[in-house]
Amino acid sequence: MTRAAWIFPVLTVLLLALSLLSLGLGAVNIRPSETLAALSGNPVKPSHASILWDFRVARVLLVILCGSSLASAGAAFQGLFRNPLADPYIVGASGGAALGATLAVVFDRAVPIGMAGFLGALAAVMVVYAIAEASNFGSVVSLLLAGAAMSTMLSAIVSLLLILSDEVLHEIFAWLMGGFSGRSWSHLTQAALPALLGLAVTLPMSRALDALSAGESSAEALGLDLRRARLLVVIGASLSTAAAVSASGIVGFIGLIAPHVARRLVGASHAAVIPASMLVGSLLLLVADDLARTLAAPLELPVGVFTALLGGPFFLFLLRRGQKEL
Amino acid sequence: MLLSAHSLTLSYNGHHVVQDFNLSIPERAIVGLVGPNGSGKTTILRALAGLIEPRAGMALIQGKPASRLDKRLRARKIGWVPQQESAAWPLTVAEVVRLGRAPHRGWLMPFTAEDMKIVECALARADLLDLKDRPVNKLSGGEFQRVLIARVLAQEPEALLLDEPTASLDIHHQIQVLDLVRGLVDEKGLSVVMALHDLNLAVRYCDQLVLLHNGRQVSAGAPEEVLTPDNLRAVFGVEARLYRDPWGAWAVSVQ
Repeated sequence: MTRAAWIFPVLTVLLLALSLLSLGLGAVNIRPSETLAALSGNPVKPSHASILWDFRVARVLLVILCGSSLASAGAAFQGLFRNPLADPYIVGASGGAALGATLAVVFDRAVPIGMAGFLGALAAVMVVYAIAEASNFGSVVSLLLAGAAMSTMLSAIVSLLLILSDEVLHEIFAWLMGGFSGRSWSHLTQAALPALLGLAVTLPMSRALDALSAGESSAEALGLDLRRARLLVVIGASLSTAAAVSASGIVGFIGLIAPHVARRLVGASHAAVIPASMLVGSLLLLVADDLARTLAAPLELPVGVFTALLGGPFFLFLLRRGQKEL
Repeated sequence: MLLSAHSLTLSYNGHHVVQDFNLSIPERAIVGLVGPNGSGKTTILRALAGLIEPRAGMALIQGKPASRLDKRLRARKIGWVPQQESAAWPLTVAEVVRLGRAPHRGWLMPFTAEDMKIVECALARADLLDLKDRPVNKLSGGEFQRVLIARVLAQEPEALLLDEPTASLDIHHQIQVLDLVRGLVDEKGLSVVMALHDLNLAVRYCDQLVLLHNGRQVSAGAPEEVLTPDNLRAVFGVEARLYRDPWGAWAVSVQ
């Protein structure tokens, strides 16, 4: 607990510093001192002020929102499945949200994208959960197989929809690759509500997730209403996933890595793990986004590519370590 | 009567594991469930804890079906300690024991100073103060078993259901845990039902024994009435009898 007490301020300061740096990066580089001046309301070069306020502030805030949402969803899914390999991408939530959001776009936004994404994520996770539970619940293999099958199926349906409705194809395709290119205040305001709601549902489940660590029977013997707790965790994590996916497309592995780093830093109690994961997830996604827009500048690379390059090996490492422990 | 079972039939995958089981557990008493592996001890404890739905008959907590009771209320009345438990995450010993206060404090409210005092006391009674900041996945089997005992102490229930509480303990901690249970029964008037493998510990600590064989009750009553040479032969297939040990307590001698 004493360690957690100084980890949080350190992570927060790191996040502020990295945000300041990220605001200056791009086609036009702006020095941190000038960024700081602009943010504190002092006069700076008008073109720089416009770049900052019209684009970059919203983008950096959106990256933080998506990073922290994916990370809290990851921590919640790992706790619920009692499985360190769970994350929004692996349990099918991201795929479900992508399908929901794609359907919303194809049908001329008859339902708001965030809402459609939430419903898609919720449905996908419930199906994966039911399959994993029916076939020896808790085993790593059944979760991974159910999640993989679900994700493959969902992405096939998304591809089919894209081919059948060719006029919006390009827009959706770029969005699905995962990235923050061209994102602005409107994306931020749309994603803010589901992100906050998700957090408001997930965070209060911290103690219940701690109890689930001991297994479902023990948690129930400690007075936990299992069905209710599971449902709330799935709803909260699906809302967070939907917020991130509808804003930035599919960005994998942030939800997988962030909780692991967080547990190393603050211990395993979810009341500390979830907030620490959010800070770590924001930091990771900011780094990935900075790389995405600077490495091949002026071309912007999809950020999902970087998180996958970073996360894939990490996932394999966890899988290998898990097998050794078994 | 806090806990009772009436013509309880329990099944698993359509197969009857326990049939027509009757039991009423008096206050201030330890009732021991004894019998060979697979005789239904664990399943009976799970049913009394309300964790499984009976196939027929009833498991009652203060006259109400155990599996239908409000979960938090039930957890304040009944503490259940499984034989084995896994830990998905490396929570510390103190964090796990603190969860014993959840039935009282709920899942949202912060733990109070009183909760912390009770947790500290439970850690002390289970001899865990030195280990309280250790992650539970770094404990030996016996240490982990004591964590489960400490958690159920922090839970402050009126009845305890213990499934092989001494299975992975050395003899020092076996005696320590069972003395602790005996003390709680005598001081606070708890009712205890425990499944025990070791017949010597069972005759020494239990006020009553229930002998089970293939999911059916063979005999019930005072230890010396239950563990007769005939019963021991019929259930365990050994020639054995009870005798008074040098300290005047009952012990089992096998030929």
